[in-house]
Amino acid sequence: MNTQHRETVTVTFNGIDKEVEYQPNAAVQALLNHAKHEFGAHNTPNNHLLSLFTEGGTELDDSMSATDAGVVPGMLLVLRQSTVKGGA
Amino acid sequence: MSAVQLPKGVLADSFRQLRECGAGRAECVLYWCASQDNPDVVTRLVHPVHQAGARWYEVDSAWVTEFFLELRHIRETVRVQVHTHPFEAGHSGIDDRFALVPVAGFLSLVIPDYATGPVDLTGTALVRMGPDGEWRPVQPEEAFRVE
Repeated sequence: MNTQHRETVTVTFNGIDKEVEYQPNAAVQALLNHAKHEFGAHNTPNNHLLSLFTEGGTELDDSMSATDAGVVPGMLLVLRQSTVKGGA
Repeated sequence: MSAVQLPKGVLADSFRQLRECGAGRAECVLYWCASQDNPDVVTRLVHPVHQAGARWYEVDSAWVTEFFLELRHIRETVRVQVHTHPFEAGHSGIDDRFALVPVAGFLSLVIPDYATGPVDLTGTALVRMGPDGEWRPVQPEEAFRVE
C-alpha cells in the first residue's frame, strides 16, 4: 500500500493551468518532472532548462524538498524556461 | 495541421515594432498571442522587456514570469515566437534551446535583415517543434493565413 502523503499545486505554463500532485517531502525535481509531463514538455531535448518559479519570480531549488522550498498545498507555481534568449 | 490566422494589422505592427526597437543594428523579439479558446487565430503582439545586440537578445527574467501570469489571467496563450536576425533568417542552436515555449506545436518565426525588408513572410524562416522536441522547418505560406 502506498502511504506517501500527496498534495496538489496549480502549475501555469504559457497561460494554461494544470493541477499537479506532489509529495511534500520529495525533492522539487519530482514535482518539476510531473509538471513537465502534464504540459508535454518532458521529452524535449532541452527540457532540463525548464524550472518552477513562485508568483513572485523566485526560482525553486530542484534539490530541496518541496516543503523546504516553500511549496504549500494549493499554491500557484509558474513553469518556464530559466532563460529565454536567442541569437544569430 | 490547420493554418494560423494572422491579421495583416498584426503583421504590419510587428514589422514596425521590430524595426523601431532594433533600429537596423540589433535583434528584437515579440510574441503573437491567441485566445486559449481559439489558439489558431492570432489576436495581438506582445513586445517583451529585453536586452539585445547585433546578434543576440535576452528576455528579462522577471518579465517572463509576470507575462505567464498575465496570460493565465486573461486566458491567452503564446502561439508564435517572432524575432529578427541581422542577415539571412534561420533558427540557430540558441534559438532552439531557449525559446519561450518549448512544446510540440509551438511555432518560431525568424525574420531576416532586422525586419527592414518587405512587410510579408518573404525570406522568413519558420520552424515548429515536433512531438520529439526537434524543431522542423515549415513553409510560412502554409502555416499562416494572412488576412
